[in-house]
Amino acid sequence: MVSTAADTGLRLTPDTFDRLFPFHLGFNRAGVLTHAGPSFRRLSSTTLLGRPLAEILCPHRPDVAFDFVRIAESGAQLYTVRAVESDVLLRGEMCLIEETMFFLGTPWFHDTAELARLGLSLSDFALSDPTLDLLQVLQMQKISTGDLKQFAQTLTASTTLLKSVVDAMPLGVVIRDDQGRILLTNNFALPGGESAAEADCGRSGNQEANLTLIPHHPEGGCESVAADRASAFEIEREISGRKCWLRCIKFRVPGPDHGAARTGTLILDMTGRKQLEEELRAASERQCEYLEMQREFISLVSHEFRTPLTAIEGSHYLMRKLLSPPEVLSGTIAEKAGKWFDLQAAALTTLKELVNQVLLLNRIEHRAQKEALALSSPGTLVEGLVEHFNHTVDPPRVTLQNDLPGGFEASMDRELIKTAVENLISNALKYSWTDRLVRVRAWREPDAWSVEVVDQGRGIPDADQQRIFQTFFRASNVDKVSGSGLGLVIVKRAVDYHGGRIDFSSKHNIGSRFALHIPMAPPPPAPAVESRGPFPTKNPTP
Amino acid sequence: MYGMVNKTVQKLIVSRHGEAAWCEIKRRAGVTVDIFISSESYPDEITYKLVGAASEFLQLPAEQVLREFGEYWVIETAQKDYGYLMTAGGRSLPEFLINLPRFHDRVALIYPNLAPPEFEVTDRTERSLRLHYISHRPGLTPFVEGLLIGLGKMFNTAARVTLERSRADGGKADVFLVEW
Repeated sequence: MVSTAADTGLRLTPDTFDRLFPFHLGFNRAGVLTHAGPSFRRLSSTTLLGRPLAEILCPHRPDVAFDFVRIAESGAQLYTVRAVESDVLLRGEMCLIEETMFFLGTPWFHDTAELARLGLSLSDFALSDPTLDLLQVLQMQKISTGDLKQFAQTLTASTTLLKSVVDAMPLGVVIRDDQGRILLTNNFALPGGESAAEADCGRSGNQEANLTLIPHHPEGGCESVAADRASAFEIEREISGRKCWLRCIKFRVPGPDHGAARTGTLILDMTGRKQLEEELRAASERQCEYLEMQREFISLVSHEFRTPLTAIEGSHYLMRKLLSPPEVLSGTIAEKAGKWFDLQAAALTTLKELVNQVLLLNRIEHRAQKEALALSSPGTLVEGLVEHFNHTVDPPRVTLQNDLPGGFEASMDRELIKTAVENLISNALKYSWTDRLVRVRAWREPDAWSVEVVDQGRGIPDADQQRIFQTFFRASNVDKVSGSGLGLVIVKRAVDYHGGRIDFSSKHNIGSRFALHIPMAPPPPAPAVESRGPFPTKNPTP
Repeated sequence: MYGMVNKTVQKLIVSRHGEAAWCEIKRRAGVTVDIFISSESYPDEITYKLVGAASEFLQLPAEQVLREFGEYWVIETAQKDYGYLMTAGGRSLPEFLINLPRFHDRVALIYPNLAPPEFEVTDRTERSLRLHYISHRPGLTPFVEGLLIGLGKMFNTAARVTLERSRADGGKADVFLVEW
């Protein structure tokens, strides 16, 4: 039996009634089902009409048996009923139309799975039925809850990762909000056993206490930390009775959505490093003291050498003058005495040269400042030296090619440069064949001036070349040529003193070339403590 | 745009090309959102940028990328996320398509900020109908085409989808002829 417009007394066609109330049921005073909407029929596998209502529906709320008269008298009320076969809860109201009591309702679902269980689709519901809207909301809520759970898991994983990274960092980390409350910190322990957070917020750990171990910023609050740069400062504190040095780096951590900025603090325990620095400084001071003692000792010894040397030299001169007349010594004795005097003179010269070079080296080593630098003409200096050497050898063997510009001057310690070039020319003459020339050339470079000395002689064996700038080293092929082993050391130190460099090449039995390049702007002085001393060290400079 | 759409883009890229590819596409798109909430509304710009970057990264035309997204959305995302509600959309492809306008009208009421598209069904026959897609969002026609193809697969129905008229031609709606 199907509802009709005449049955209901309404001007609704059965199709319209079914569309508007697809889950409706109607029963008569005898409690027999007389009407059933198409969607309710879908919930049942058997015929519904003509059956007792109690077989089809059971009351849920109110939980009282269906009674036609009582329902008719109770007026408008919300009824929740359960479809017996499908076990579906429906909610709606009872409506008496003529002699038929209609239940006009719709299923009530807690989960969209119910739809599938019952085989219902959107088409089974009235268009105005909000049940589907509710299901839509429930489903979206379910999906969004899933998203949020996933989000929470990701956040938890990120937080755990961040925390483990921060904990593993070899420095203290404290992040605070704009109120100074700690948002993130790690377990970095300071020397006294305190954590970074305790150190940052105060000995007591009470953030409100004004006992801040580390000031928020030396010049004020966190707001004074510039947004685009970090601010670092070091502080010295006593923690648990121990003196500690902490380096603090403050930086801004942008707040979310341009909110209030947070302040980050990185705390580095510098105590160990500071202690090492202290020890290093003390050792350096001791080294300076030793070097000064060494310099004074060498100076003293060298001067003490000079005095007797001068006396011996004077005595030698007087004795030679006294014994040189033929009436005093003649014949074989005079001849032998002359040879002995020559030997004596050569030995005295070598000894004087050695003492002078040791003194000069000592002076270079202990110069702390470039106070002796002054503008001077390297061209004039080299010309004078070449002229001097040409007067001492016969025939003159030193040629000069001076390519320096006329009037050119450079800042230099003239005495040192003179000694260096002098040593090079002297070596060139000593170790080259007596019939060969020694060529000297000076020229200008963009930022330096240079001088080279080239000889044609015995050269330096390959095996010795690495060591020629070592103190007291002499090449294996010098034979009986006298020397102290300090000449090239002085050259090297003089060039180093000016911040210059030496180019050197040599071939055994062909000759050697030494070129000094002296920069126009000498470097700042090296600290006196770096002085190497005039005597061989464990790691001599090659 | 629904966060769900962006999530689909993410799922498709990750499942087919790996997490690294998704990170690279996000980087190229300049998108910094880590997790999309399905029911949350996101600026359309994000979706367009993701599609553009994916197209560039995968070296595929944007239309093809969108079509794949649409199909993937039905097969992988909507069926899993919407579950029974999706099944309840209809017992067959035509029933589902007929209900599609109602479904989106409800969404528009529930989530007014999402501004979902409108659909209209006309010219229903036993074997075909015309689906009108009306949206203020440009360029998503291939996405809808992919959705329709995906729906055919969902109902195990061999469907042919033809774009008969396009908004690009000046009309109000894209009109698809869906035959099965």
